[in-house]
Amino acid sequence: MLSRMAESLYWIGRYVERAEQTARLTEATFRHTVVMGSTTEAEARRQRHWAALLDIVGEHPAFPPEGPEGDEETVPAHLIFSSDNGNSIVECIARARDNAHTMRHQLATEMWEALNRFHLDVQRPGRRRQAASGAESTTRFCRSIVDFSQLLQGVTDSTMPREEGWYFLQAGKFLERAEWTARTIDVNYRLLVGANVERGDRHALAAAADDPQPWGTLLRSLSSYESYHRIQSRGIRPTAVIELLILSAVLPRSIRFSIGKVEAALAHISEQAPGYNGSEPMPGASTESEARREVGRLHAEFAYQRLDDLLDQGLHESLLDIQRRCYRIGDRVEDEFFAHRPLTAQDVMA
Amino acid sequence: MGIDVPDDQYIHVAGCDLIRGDDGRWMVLEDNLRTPSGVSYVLANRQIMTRTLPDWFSELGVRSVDSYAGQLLDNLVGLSPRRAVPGAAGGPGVVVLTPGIYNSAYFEHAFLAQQMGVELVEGRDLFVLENRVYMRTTTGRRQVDVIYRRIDDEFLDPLAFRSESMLGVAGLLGAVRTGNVTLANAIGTGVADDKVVYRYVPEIIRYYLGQEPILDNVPTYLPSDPEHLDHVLRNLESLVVKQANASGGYGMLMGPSADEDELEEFRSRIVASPRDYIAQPVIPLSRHPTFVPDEQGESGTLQGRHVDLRPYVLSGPDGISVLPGGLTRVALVRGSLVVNSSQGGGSKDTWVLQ
Repeated sequence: MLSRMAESLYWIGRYVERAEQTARLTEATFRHTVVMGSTTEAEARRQRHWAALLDIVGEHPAFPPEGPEGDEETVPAHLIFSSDNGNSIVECIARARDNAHTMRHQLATEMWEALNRFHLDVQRPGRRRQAASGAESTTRFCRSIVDFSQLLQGVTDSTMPREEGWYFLQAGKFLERAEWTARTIDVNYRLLVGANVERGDRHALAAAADDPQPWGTLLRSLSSYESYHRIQSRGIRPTAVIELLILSAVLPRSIRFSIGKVEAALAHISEQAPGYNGSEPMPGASTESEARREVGRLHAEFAYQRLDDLLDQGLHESLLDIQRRCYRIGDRVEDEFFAHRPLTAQDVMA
Repeated sequence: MGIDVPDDQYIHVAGCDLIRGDDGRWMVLEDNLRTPSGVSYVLANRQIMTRTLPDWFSELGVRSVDSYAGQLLDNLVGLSPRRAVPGAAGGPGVVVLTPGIYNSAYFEHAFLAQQMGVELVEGRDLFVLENRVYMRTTTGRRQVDVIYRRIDDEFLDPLAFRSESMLGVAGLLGAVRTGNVTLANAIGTGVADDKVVYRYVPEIIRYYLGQEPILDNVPTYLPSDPEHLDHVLRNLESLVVKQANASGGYGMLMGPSADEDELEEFRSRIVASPRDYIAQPVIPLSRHPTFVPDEQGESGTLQGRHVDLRPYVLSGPDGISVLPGGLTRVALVRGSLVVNSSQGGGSKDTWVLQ
C-alpha cells in the first residue's frame, strides 16, 4: 500500500486513542477531586492532581499560557478545546479526520462519516460553550468522546478488511496506548508517593497503601478498575495496581498487552516483504526490520519480567526506559514504512 | 517538444461541450482536452437515479454508463511502456495523480481511482530514479508506468516547469522523454483548450482530415484581428466575451446583462491585450424542465433552465469510444446562460436510449 496511506492510518489510530485517553483521564480526575472537600489542604491536593494531568499529556511546560497554576477549569479547557495545544481532544479529532480525508476513498463510508460527523460536532461553538459550563457538562462531554471512540472502533472493526491498513491502524493505536499507560503510571506514582520516594520504591509503595482511593482513580482513568477487582481479589494495593498495569498479559490497557499488539501488527505487516506486488526495496534500505526487532525484544522482556525487577531498576527509570523504547519503535516504523527519508546521492549511485 | 508518445496518441480523455441553439442546430461550444472533469457526476447521478426510479431504466431501455471506469482502465493499461509478463507479480503500475484534497475535483479523482482499483497518488508519493517513476509503498518502491494526471502541465515537474510547484514530481519530464512512463493526457494538450485555438478547429479538421466538420463551431471573433476588434468593440453589449486561457466560467462578460462600467472595463482590457480574449454572439442555449424549490424549500415547480452537454470520449488502442450518456450542465439561476459548476451550475443525469 502507499506509504502515505499507511502513515495516515497509523496516525488515525494514534490520535483517536490519544483523544479517548485524555477524555478518560479528565473524567476520572473530576470524579476523584470533587470528593476531596474544601479545606485549604484539600484545595492544594486538588490543584496538584490537575497539574499532574498536564505532565501526563506532556503539556506542562506550555501551561499555563497566563496566570497561576492550572485548576479544574483551566486544565480541562486546555486539554479538551485549546487550539494552542496540538494534543487537545478537538485537535486530535481534527487531525484524525484530516488524515482520513486524504484516504477517504479507501475507507468504509460509515467509518469516514463517524469521524467527520464527530469532528464537525465538536467544532460547533455552541457545543463548546455547553461542554465548558461546569464539571457536570464537561464530564458528560468526556463521556461522549469515549463513546465516539468506541463507536468508531466498532465500525472499523466490522468494516475494515484485515489487510495491511488495518494493522497500521492497530500499530498506531496500541503504541500510543503503551506510551500513554507508561506516562500515566509514572506521573501518578510520583504524585501519590510524594517525598517517600527518597526512601526507595518499595517503602514508598508500602506507605501509599494507607490511602487506596487515588490508586482506584488511576485504574479508572485507564478503564481497568473493574478488571483489577476481578483479577486481584484482595482490594486495592499500589504494588498490585502497578504490576497489573505494566505486566498483565490479559488486561487490554496494560503496557505488556499493548506492546504485544504492536508486535503482532508489525509481524502481519512484515509478511508482505519487499517484492510484494512487483515492488523493490528502496535504495539504501536495510532488509531487516528494526521496528519489529525492537518491539519483539521489549515484548519478550515483559513476558519474563517480575515487578521486583522493575523496582530493583527503579520504577521511574523503568517507566522512562519503556517510554524511550516506544519512541524508538515509532521512529523505526516511520523510517521503514513511511519512507520519509529523501534519497541521497549515495542511494542513487549505488 | 521532441517527445514521442505511444501510438502517436496525445489525447486519451476528451470532454467537448455541446449546445443546441434556438434553430435546433447542435454546435461545439468549447474543447476540453487537458484534464476534462465531471465524469464522476455522470456516474454518481446515474447511481442516484437508478435508486430513485429503478423501473424506468429497464422500461425505457436506457443505456448503461457503468463501463466508463473499466474502459478507461483498459486504455491506461494499454499505454504502459512495459508489457505485463504473464505470471509476474504486479503488472503495469497505473495511478491517478491528484493535486490533493484541496482541489475542487478531488472527489472525482478519488472516485475514479477507487472505481478503477488503482492508487490515488499525490506528487510526494512519487519519485524519479534513473528516469523511472516509482511510488513509495510500505514494501518499498513500485514502478509506475502510466499516470492519469489531473494536474496542469505547469505543475507537473518543478525541474522543467514552475520550480515552486509542490504538486509535481521532480524529474518526471525526463521519464516521459525516455519513454519509461506515459502521461494521460500528454503534456501540451491544453493548447487545444485555448479559446483562440478553438476558432481554428474547423480549419484544422479540413486540413488534416480532408473532411467537413460534422458539428459547427459557434461563430467566434478574435480581437487580435483588427477587423474583428472593431466589430467586437462596437457590439460588445450583444456579445459574450471569454478569456482565451480561462475555464470554469471565470473571466467572462455577458454583454446583454452587463452594466456600462463592466462593458467599459472589458473594452479597455480587450484593447490592452487582444490575444487574450475572444467574443461570440449570445447563443440562447436550449432549455430543459428543471425542478426549482420554492423559498421555503418545502416544495417547488418545474421551470425551464438553460443546459449544455458534455459527452466523454475515450481514445485507446482499440479506437475511440463515446460514453453513452454525458454530463448535462444546467444554469440554475433563472435566465442565466452560465452553466459552470464553479458558478453555481447544477448537473443532470443524461440518458441515451437503446
